[in-house]
Amino acid sequence: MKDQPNDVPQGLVIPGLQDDARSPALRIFLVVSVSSGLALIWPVYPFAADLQPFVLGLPFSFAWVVGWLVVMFGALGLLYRTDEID
Amino acid sequence: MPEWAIILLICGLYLALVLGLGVGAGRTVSASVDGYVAGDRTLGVVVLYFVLGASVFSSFAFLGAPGWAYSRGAAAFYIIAYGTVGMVPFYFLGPRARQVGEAFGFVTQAEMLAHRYDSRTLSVVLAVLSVVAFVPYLTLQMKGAGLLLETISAGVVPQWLGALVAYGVVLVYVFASGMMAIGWTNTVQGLFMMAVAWFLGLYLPETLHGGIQPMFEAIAAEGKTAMLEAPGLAADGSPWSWAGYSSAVLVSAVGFSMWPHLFMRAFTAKSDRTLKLTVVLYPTFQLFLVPILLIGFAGVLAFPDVSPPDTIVPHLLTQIELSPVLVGLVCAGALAASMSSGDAILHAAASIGLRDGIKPLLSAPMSDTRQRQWIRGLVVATSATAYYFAVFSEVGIVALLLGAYGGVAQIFPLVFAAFYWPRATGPGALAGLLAGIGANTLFLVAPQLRPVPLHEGVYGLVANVAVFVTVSLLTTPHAWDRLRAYTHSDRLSADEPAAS
Repeated sequence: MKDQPNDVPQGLVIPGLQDDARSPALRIFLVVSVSSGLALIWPVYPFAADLQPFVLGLPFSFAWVVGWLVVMFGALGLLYRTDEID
Repeated sequence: MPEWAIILLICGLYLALVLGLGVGAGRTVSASVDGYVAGDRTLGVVVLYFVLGASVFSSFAFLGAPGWAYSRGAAAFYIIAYGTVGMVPFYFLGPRARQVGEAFGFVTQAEMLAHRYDSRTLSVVLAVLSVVAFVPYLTLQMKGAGLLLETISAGVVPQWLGALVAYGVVLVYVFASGMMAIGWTNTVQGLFMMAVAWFLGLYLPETLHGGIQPMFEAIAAEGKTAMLEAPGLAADGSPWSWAGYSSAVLVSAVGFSMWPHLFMRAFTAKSDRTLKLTVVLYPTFQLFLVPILLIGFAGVLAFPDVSPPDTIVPHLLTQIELSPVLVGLVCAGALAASMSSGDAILHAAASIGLRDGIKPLLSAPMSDTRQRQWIRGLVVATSATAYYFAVFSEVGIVALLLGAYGGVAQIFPLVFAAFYWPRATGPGALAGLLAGIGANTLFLVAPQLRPVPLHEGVYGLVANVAVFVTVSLLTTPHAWDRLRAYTHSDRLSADEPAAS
């Protein structure tokens, strides 16, 4: 089959963000994900890169990374709860 | 009985257990390509969780990662950092892939992309990229297993024999049972390596330094504070740059869910819910990197100058007073880490090699039975090739694997656009992928050409996206009927059969 030119949308199509019931939870989740990504690299991580204070025995630089792992676990869990059951 | 004999006995029992489990597991699925490659699309949360977890944590987890913490300190946190966000895209992309996979009968990532972009060439390029990434990956797993058995047995079992025995077991169960063997053995191996990691990660700091915080305080007191402050040290011991650290996190996170052996697990899941829940639970598996890094830090003051740093774990095991039974269990846990990745890679390399590399080049259709024979043949051929490199060749395998990380990340724009950008076209995808791989390879082999010291994968991704978007906009879009299955899964129509 040869594909023909047709009314294919030009931009991104993200059904979840166009669905009013789904959109708020998804938007919050995306904000948390992007924040967590940025928190782990320059220019945010340098502010948390020190040895002190220790958290649960770990240097702050280490605990910061583990902390964001826990945050993402929570965020994914909440998103999953708001997700429709298929 | 000498200590090494007890240790080897325990490792032998572990290998026998895995072999029995793996061969037995194949009885539960149909004798078809779907059964062999995708486990008949029946995997539940528990098995899928361990498959995704254990496939990712390879012998790197027990050898390389502690080695990083030992020699480069905080630089090793990057391994936790990229995993934190790296799996998130899979929450959205995985279920979409599963739906189109079920509708059209896909079992590999490249099959899906080749259909979405209507391009057989793309499928072959992806197959070549996968195999180029997989053979060195598998070679390193074999080397790791061999090295471990050699060190732990004080040389009684040479590296070639250790690798041969461990991967002989893998070969037999992957050959016999395919996906189901990987599912069930990875569950056992995953539990085992997690238990071992937590035990060693808590025990070593306690016994060597009297606790975790005292251990870090002692390292800082020795004037090694720079090691504990992000971004840690570069390979030569000087402080690592923020540009290098951040771009390494970025590229690895983008590529993480794109590894073909990981991505194709989307096609094995029973339902979307199963797949999503697996991604939700995934960070709990990631947490096991915390004790893994603690093991490496425990060696910093106690055993300075261990070289190469990758051998710090076997070194620690032979130096501290530990009952041989425990050492045997730890050793088996490390073997589990190596084998649980090795089996997944071997299975994926053979499946992809046939479905995406060989089949599209043949004009005649191939029967299901014939395909399974071919995949099994490729399982043997891939093992033999990797074993040759592991034992007889001196080629720089590590460099190849490092290059592969940037290469695999280049698949991300194609998969993302497959589902979210209907305007993306086949010529655009192919040109973008080739530009990405080209730029990545160029800056990998000629790092002095980099304008700023960023990971080569970043340059690849920039070139990839720019070329992909430009060429897509300049070429004719695909028929909307083909795309609707990808952009709106609820309107999935299976009336157009996949090219098979």
